Amino acid sequence: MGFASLTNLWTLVFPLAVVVYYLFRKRFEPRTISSTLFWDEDRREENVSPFIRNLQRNALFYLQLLSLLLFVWLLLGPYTKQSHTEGIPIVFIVDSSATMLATPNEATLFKMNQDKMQSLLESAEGRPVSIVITGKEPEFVLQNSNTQTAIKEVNSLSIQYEQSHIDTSIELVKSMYSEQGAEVHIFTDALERTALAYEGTNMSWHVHMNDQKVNNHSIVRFGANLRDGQVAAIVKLQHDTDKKQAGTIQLTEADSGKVLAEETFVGEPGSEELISFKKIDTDAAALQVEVIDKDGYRADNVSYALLATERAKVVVDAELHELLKKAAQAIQEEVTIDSGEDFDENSILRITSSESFLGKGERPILLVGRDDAEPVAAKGEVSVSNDPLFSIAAPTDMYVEEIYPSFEGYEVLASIGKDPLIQRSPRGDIIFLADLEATDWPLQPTFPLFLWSVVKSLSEDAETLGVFTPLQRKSVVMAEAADIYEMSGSYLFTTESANTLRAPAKPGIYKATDGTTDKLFAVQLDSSERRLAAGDSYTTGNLTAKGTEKEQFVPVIWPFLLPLLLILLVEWEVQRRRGYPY
Amino acid sequence: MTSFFPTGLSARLSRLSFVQHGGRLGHHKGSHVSKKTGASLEFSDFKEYHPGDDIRHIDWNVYARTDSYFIKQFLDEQEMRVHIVLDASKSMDFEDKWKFAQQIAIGLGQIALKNGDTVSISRMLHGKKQLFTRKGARQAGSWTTYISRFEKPSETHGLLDGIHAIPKGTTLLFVVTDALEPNEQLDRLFKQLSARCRDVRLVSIRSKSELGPDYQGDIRFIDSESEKISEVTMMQSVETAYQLQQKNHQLRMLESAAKYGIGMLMTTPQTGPEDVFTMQMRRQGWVR
Repeated sequence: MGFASLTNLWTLVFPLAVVVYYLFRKRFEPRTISSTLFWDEDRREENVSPFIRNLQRNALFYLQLLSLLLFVWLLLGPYTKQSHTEGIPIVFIVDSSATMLATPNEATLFKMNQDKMQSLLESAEGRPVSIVITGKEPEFVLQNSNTQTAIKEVNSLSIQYEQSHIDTSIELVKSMYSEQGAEVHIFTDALERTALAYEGTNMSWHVHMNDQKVNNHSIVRFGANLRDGQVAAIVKLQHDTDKKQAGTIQLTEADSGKVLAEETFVGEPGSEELISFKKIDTDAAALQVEVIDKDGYRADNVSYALLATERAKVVVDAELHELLKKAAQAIQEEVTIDSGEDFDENSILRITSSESFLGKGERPILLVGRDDAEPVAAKGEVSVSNDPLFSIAAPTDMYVEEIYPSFEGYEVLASIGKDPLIQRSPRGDIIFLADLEATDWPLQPTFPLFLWSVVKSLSEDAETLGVFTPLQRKSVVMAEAADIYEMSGSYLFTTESANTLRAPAKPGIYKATDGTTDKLFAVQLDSSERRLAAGDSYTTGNLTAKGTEKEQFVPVIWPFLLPLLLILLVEWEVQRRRGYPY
Repeated sequence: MTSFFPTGLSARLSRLSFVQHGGRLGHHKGSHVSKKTGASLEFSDFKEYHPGDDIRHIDWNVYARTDSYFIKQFLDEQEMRVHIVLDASKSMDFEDKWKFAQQIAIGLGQIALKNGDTVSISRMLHGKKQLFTRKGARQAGSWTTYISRFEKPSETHGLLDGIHAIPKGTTLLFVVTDALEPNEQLDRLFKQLSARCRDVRLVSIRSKSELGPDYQGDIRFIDSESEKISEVTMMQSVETAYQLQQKNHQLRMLESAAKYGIGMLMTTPQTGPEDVFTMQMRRQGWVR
């Protein structure tokens, strides 16, 4: 035996209440007195009609009978037929990219769209509602839900700053509703009619666009370079304005907010403008540039730059193992084979077997083998330290035939037996103390991963993780899953794993901490998000679906259950007052 | 018997006699002075002679002195017939009411017997009327014994049924009851009583808890006669309502009594029989 709705077990409260009621009922103490003449004067009217007296005496009986009849009535399962329209699904595709923050009037486009959605929902009572948030991975916030929940959900939507990729969302919605038919509302700033290939679908498309042009100064590009302890920065501005509008631009330190320099710009309508800052003295790791001006779109008025974030070119010695070159080319587009040319050692990452490079330039190198020492036979197992370099794959089952003598005082990252195998110099050079020919490592999958980790950590500035677009996922080199903090110090989240990092949505400078090192990274708007578009809203598509009439049986329980309970209550009141029938 | 009716009280009662209000006395010669002129030795008044007067009563001494006829009048002495109706309904058997009622009946009878009058008592027993008559001071003992042997009341009928037991020619009628009946019934009772006898005196006995109930909690009151039930949760307001009911009932009863010229004495067993005879009845002007 099973129970269809065990949740109704709560109704046990009623019998329990009755029992409690019974326990606390009035208990009259019988007492014979000479006359009740003066006691029941006010009850005289009850004695008038024999019918009332009968009712009075047998009240309990009648009430119990009534409640039993009602109970039987309930067991019959009374219901009423109700028909209602199963409406055409309504789907909202909500652009949540940064451009929706544009403010043509008082409110942002996003807020205006929220209001529009709300009013649409209010008139779409009873229709299933779905809401899709755009992005690289479009997401159903709500699927075939009712309007009440949808209204709540609409109010809690927020900007994701990510590029909209609206076509992906459109495809997603199409794949789900092309058969069934749906009324799709797209809320965005601008969308070409050609983006909606609606042939063969049974849907109507309502595109709600931004129909007002927005005055906008945008920072298209911002670069900063650290040279000889001084920073040179260049800012490219785009003026999408109707008329000439001059203004100022401010360069500040991202973490402290200290103003480093201020320049003015001309602001010719529709023009691009280059502004450069030279010889700025700062030791900040990240810079921020901001257009100090009121325009219709604030999100692109700020841009960030991490100092020395450009990737170094990888230069590999010609005489090194062929597989090393191949691995380097696989992980980095720009790989140069050194056949004796001169390189600026400060701008390249050198992979070499000659330890003479250890002292050259300022950038660390990857040294594979030594050319001034003789190798000796290696003994023992390979063991590795807990270093970010090995966080992806540790080369533990590598065979090493012979190794070179180690460098005194260098940090040992991996060793074979008691002898160091991989070392790190104080400058940061990584030294592999064996010829690749003397190992089987290049044949193992851990080798390219190790090389990737080395290149990643050596070619990029160790203090930064580079620039991300909002919500972008990137591979990073961290020892453990990193905690992400805002520059102000408040904690945001922890990454899922040590090697990938999904950037926060909001542009800005963030700090990632894996317990040992702090690394900065910047979140910048995608370049497509720096340009505002406008257009007129339109409706297209062919929706032929009609709402289907559905008939439903609605059980009618409560209108009967409540009187039943009420009768029980009255019964007890009768019992309490009159005691048992006599 | 002495414990039932204190002998000291008997002695005191022998000094009392009933005060007559009604005009009519019994036909027999008795010891009560009637207002009518009669053949007693007690002188009453002189009156001028008019033709038709008994010439035997002419005071010749006065005629000799004044030369006009005067008639010498004497007071008549007649016997009094006292009857007591004892309410034997079940409601009388509550607390110490019944014993008190018996004591009152004994006391009234003794007063009458000591004065040489005829006294009778009637009550209902098992639906039949019981009548007991005595005359003469010597009968006081048997009177007391008879009444004190009355069994507990078992009647469920009111006093109206006992009306026919009242002997004809009763000069003084006492009704000993608790008067716990609706005013309409009492009114009817009074009417019939006044028709039977000119001088009706009603002794109403209420026990202590009838006058002022002090019950606690939830009580189901059962009427001893009708077995009607009245459930009451004792509260100040309920008690007040009770008192008000009683007061109203009493006022209406007094009103009907006054209407039919019936004397009323409200008493309670608390006061004791002595107090009733020596104080209350005296104050009412019933005894002297």
